[in-house]
Amino acid sequence: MRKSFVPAVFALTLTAAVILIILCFTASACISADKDLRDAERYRNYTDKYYAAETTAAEIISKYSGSSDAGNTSLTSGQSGASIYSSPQGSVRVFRADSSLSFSVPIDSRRQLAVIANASGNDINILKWSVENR
Amino acid sequence: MRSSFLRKKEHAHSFLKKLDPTQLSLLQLKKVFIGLLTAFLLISFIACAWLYNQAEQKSRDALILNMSVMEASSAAETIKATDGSLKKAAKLLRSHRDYTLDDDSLLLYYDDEMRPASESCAFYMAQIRREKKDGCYCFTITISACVQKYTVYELVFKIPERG
Amino acid sequence: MKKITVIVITSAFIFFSIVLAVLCTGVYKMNSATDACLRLRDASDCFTDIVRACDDISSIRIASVGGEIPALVMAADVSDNADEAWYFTYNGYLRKVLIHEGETVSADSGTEVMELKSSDFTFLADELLEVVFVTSDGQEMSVNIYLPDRKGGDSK
Repeated sequence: MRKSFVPAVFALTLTAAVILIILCFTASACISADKDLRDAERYRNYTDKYYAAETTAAEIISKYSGSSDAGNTSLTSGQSGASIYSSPQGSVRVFRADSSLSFSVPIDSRRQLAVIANASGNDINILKWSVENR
Repeated sequence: MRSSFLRKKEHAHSFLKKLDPTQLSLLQLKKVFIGLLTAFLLISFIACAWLYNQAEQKSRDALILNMSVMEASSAAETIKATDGSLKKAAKLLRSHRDYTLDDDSLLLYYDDEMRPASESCAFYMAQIRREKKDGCYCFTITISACVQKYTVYELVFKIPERG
Repeated sequence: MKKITVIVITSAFIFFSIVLAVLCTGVYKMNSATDACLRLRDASDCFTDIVRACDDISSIRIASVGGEIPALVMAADVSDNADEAWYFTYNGYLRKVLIHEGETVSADSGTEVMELKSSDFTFLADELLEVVFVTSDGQEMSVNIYLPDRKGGDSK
């Protein structure tokens, strides 16, 4: 009875070892897939922040060009030629000279969207619209 | 009937007497071991199947999310170049031969790998809606699954209204 | 009884070995799809970042290296100490070449930016650049990039 017991146990242990390998393999695949999903979410947030900064830039241009119907409730007067615009990205300092506007909207901790534009009514001319390091 | 019962009882007694006490416990051990191992195999198999399913689902979600963000971003750039005209934007999105255009809405279609496709074999779709607000055009690009109707990604942005 | 036990155990071992092989194939396919997608994303991001970082949008134009290789040309960054930056794909890589005015560009010069099989550039409109690229594993994709108030047509 002992003789027939040992090979059976050995074979079962081997099968259990294969199962353990499968278990470890699928667990690591699951962890890897989770990492990929979090990386995709970071990319989504990165893109969302850029377009949020562009949205703020569009709102600033619209308000200062005078084409906006809304009141300038988010503006506070600062130094001459400069105003402060309150945005979801924080306070944005807007420099004005006649119809020329110049400002930088923070995108995240490392980047900002730098804009220089001539804006008067619906006549908007973008001179600079680029992403820079902060 | 009684005699057959008594015969069975005697048979069992003699069988038990033949067995060694240590062999009896080995037999029990063997049964317990096999039982435990079988239980372990079953539980492990179920766990593996569940983990694999999770891995596959997350991997697919990551792929679709990445592709959705890229496609939405490309569509947004095209809309900005047309000063908010959805009609012009639809024509400039050359990879999309099939689309549905309304006054303030544009529908684009994608296959199961988020590649541009026709409406008939669409797995996902991007709905681009336009609104006029405070001197700006506000666009919302919503990418959702056609059948299950869940939203994969939504991008909102504004452009100044130009003359 | 002994024979049945052996058969059952052997069958279980073979079955789980097959399951392992199938799982390995499945995970390999998943990883391949993810890698392909990430290559597309990296290339798309690379071109978008290059264009968005350009200070002078009106300097962006399309040219060719040696009359054959499509290239995207723009004014170089001040810190690069050059006049123009040329981006083109050659020998399996996207390359960046910085030159001064009047210099010619050779295909094997410059720094390697990232692995890429090919890239082509078209102005769909004055303010819209289309980049069609093929990654190292053969995946093709096109991405549109807005060029605010860029004046001028396609100089290809």
